[in-house]
Order: sequence, then structure tokens, then C-alpha cells
Amino acid sequence: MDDHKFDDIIKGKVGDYEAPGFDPAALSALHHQMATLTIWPWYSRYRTELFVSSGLFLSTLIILWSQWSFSSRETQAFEKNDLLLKTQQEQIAKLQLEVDNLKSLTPDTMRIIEIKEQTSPLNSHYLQRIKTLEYTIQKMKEANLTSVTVEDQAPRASMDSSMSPGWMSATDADFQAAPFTTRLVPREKSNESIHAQPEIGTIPDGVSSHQLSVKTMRNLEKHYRNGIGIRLGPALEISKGFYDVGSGKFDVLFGVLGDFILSPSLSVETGAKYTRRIYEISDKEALLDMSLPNVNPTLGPLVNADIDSWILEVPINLKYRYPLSMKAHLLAGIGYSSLMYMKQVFEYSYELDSDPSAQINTTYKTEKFALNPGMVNISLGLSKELKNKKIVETSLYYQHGLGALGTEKVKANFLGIRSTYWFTIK
Amino acid sequence: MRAVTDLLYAVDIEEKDLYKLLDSCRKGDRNSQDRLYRDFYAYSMGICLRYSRTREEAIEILNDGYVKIFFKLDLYSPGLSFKGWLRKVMINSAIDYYRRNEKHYHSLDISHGQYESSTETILDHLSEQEIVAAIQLLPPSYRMVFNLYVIEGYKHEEIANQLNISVGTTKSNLSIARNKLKKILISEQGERLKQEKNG
Repeated sequence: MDDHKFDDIIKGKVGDYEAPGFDPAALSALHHQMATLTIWPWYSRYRTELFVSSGLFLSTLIILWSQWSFSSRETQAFEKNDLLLKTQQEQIAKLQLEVDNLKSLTPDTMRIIEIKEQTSPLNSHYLQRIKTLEYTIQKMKEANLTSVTVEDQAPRASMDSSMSPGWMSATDADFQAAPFTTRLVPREKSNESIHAQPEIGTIPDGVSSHQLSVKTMRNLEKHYRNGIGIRLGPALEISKGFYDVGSGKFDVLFGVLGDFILSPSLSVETGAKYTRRIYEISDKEALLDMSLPNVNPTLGPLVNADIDSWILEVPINLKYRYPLSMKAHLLAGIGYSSLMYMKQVFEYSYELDSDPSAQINTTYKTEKFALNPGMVNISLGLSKELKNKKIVETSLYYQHGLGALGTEKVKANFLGIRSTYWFTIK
Repeated sequence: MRAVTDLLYAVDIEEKDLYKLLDSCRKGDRNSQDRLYRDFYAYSMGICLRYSRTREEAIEILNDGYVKIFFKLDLYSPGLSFKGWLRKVMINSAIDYYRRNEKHYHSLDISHGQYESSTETILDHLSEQEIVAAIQLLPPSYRMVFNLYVIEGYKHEEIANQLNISVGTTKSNLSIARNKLKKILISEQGERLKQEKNG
């Protein structure tokens, strides 16, 4: 029998062969196999991008809102201040006018007016006396016996040199009636009338009540020079990881930092920052060489590994500040960061049927707390004091890994930008 | 005529049921997946047995194939034969299994001869199950080439490409597989005759 015929018979016999019976153990094995595998929705591969874009969008909204809120509040404050200043200016102008008017009056007239307003018996006596004097002057004018002239429009009296200064004074009897009253001596000119009393806090004072004395200033300077100043503030960082295998993505770190100012130029910065770092390895050869945990080669060749790490970073940096102006400083820092891995998630993609578009994904999660060798930090930046006395610090930094990081033992360096908003505590 | 119409109607209903079942499987319904597994178990197991040495191996291939089916059911086009697609998945699963375990296959029996005796008569007397059992006795590399070429109708170039071997090797393996299978079938038939005489 030739091969062709043999093949045909075999094909005819077993080509559509169906195995008899059903094995429930086979189905149980399938259930077990299915349970070890997870299926990922279509958007899972864009999860990082979605997360980053959402974060950026939210940050943008927060920044825009804060800017709008701040500017709106600032505008309202400006308008209020402007109105207050205008009112004050108007009041000052009125007062100035009044002062000018008062300046043009002699103090005697003022005293007379004041006395006229009073209704004591002594005042009545004075008034009577004044009337008598006015009558005498009038008579003298009429008789041309006096040299009294009216020099200005103000109701004042003048006298010749022969007259004693006591022309307006009371008689002896008057003195007896009012022993404490002396002659009507022109009082000292006051720059302000009784109506010109400033309201406290409305008229700007020439000298600020908050102005510190030289001694206090010197003491403060001495304090800041010798003592330890403390600043505290939230920090936000955006950095990109450069790994010896795989490609890193942009990661966001946030945390709280403290700055201990040892001298005007040196400070030590420390605190805690938290981040989720993500990177991906797509190189098949690199994946084979790496010791990734829980890889299942029976599912097919591993084509991609997506590694997410949740890290707590504790930095300690020595910073040198060089003053550019009273409110701006140039900063240079060097230090060390300790890294603590809180959690890691490994997402593996296996190629299915040698078809690159068909993949099976599995996940392995480890929550083992692990301390890593850490990193050397180098930074360069600027700090600027704001109007509200808070300080904004922005710096470019580079972190160099001192050893293998994570469960997968990867070497990594990071480059990023950091912003800190400092509140002065001491 | 009425009988033909009834038959077509029955087929239509079956297809509708199948599509409903596949749709449920696609949505991840575990009961529907179990039902599909049970319904096509015999057919797919028949394929897997031919590509394996033991029943356990066949179950492994079978389950690998069903995992692929459940995860990639979207790739199946409803207009086409589901059985044909299932068969292809099972064959690919068998090829994958062979590739994964290739380095563990050490047995290479090169002893073969020509068996020109009455193979045709022998084949007539053997059941499908016996022939499948005989195929299972072939060394893995021969069994794989024999199945792909003789039963599935693959060309030598395709087999060579799938198994990462040369065309010459597939031809050689096929020839050896044929001769070995003939030998096995003859000896099996002899054993059977002996048993019948004794019985």
C-alpha cells in the first residue's frame, strides 16, 4: 500500500475522531487554570496615561482656581484699600483746609470765641468787658483819638505802643473776682483744631508703630545668625526614571519637608516623600536575564513586564544658599535619600499563539516592606520670598542610585524638578 | 422536502443556541463556559489525544486550548464554522505544547523498516480508538509531523515553519512516522489476533 493511500485511510478513520466519555477532572483542572489568570480590560494598558493626564488636568484646575481666587481676593482687597485711601485723602484735604483757615485766625479770636461760647459768670463779665472795649474803640475811632486801624478783615483789636499789654485784661476787681484767672494771654498756636482730631488708624502716621528699633533688629539678626531657624512645607516633585533595563515614565512625588537653617547660608533639609514609580520592560532578552518574581513560562514567552512600585523616600540634604537679592537665593544641595518599598505590582504579558496581538496578562503583587540602598541627591535651584512672607523654592535635582532597587533588583537614576512652599515656623 | 426543511430549521436553531452560548462565554459566564467545554469535549479531546502520548498530556493541551478560546473568543467570526476555529486553536495549542516540551523529548527511535504487507486489511479491522492509541505511541516529533501533514493537511513548508525545523527534517520525520505507525499497527493486530485465538 502506498503512502498516499495509507494517509487517506488514517485521515478517514481518525480525522473526525471524538473521544468517548467526559472527564470531570479535566474541567476542574480548567477551572483551576482559569482562576490563576486574570483578564484585563482594554483601558488597562492606558491606565498610567489616564492617571497622569487626570492628575495634570486636576492640577491645572487647582492652579487656575487658586490663581483666580487669589487674584479675585487681591482685587477686592485693593479696591477696599483704594476706597479707604480716597476717603482718607478727602478727610485730610478737608482737615488741611480747616487748618489753613484756622492758621489765618489769631489765637486771641479763637479764645474769645471759645469764651463767648461759655456761659460762666466770668465769661459774662468778659463779654461785658469786651463790649465796653469795643464801644471805647468805636468812640476813639469816631473821635480820631486813637490810632486803632482795621488792618485786616479779622475781628481783632490792636493798640499803640503806649498801651500796656493789659489793655484787654480785667480790672483789679476782676482779678479779685477770679483770682486764678490771669490776663488773656495769647495761647500757643495749635496746628489742629478740636475738629481736626484724627481718627485712630484712619490717617497714616508718618512713623510706623511696627518699625523696630535698631537694637531689636540687631538682636533679631543675632538670633537668626546663631540659632536654628525652622521651615516646614509641602513638596511636589515630577521626575523621570532612567533604568538599566526598561523605560521609566514621569512620576509624581509629594510629601512634607522641613528645612533647619543652621546659618544664613547653610541649612539641612529632611522629611518624607511618597511616590508611585512606574516603568516597563519590553526587551525579551532583558526579561529572560532578569530575576522577576512569579513568572510563569508555561503560559508562553514573556514579552512585557510593567512594574509599579510604591516608595517612601526619606531624604537628608545639606543646602547652601547664595543671596541674589534680599528675597531671592540661589540654592545648591547634596545629600542622601533612603528608599523604602511599601508595595510592588508586577504585570506580565505573555505572547499567545506566537501572535503579538494576542496576549495573556498575569499580575503578581508583593507588599513586603523593604529597605533599599538609597540614592545620592544633587540639586540646584532658586528660592523666592513672596509678599506673604512664604518662600517658594524650585530646584532641578538628580538622584543617583547606590545599588539595585526593588524585588527585581534594577539600577535606576532619576532626574526631576521639585517645588516646595515653605512656612517659617521659627 | 419537508424533512430537509425541518433539518435546516434544526441546524438554524442549533446555530442560534451556539451563538448565544458563545456570547455568554464572551461575557465571562462560567456556566456557559462549562457548557461549551462539555459540548465540545469529545471533539476537541479527539484532536488532543492524537498529539499527545498520554491522556494527561491531552487534557493539558485541551485546557490550554480552552483558555485561549475563552480569552480570545472575540477573534472568532460568527459566520464561520466554530468547530473549524476550535480545531485550529487545539492544533496550535498542541504545537505550543510541543515547543515548550521539545527540550525534554529525548527518545528518538530511528529504527524503521518497510512494511509493505497488508496494512490496508489491518486498518480495516482496527477501530479509531486503536489507531489513535497507535499514533500516541509515536515519538513526539514524528507524531507531530504525521498529524499535521496526514490529518490536518499542512504542507511541509508550513510544518517546518511552525516547528522551527527544516523541510528536509519534516519529510524525513513523516516517512519514519509512517513506517513506525505501520509497524505498530501490524504488531497491534497480531496481538489482537492472538488474544482472539486464546479467547
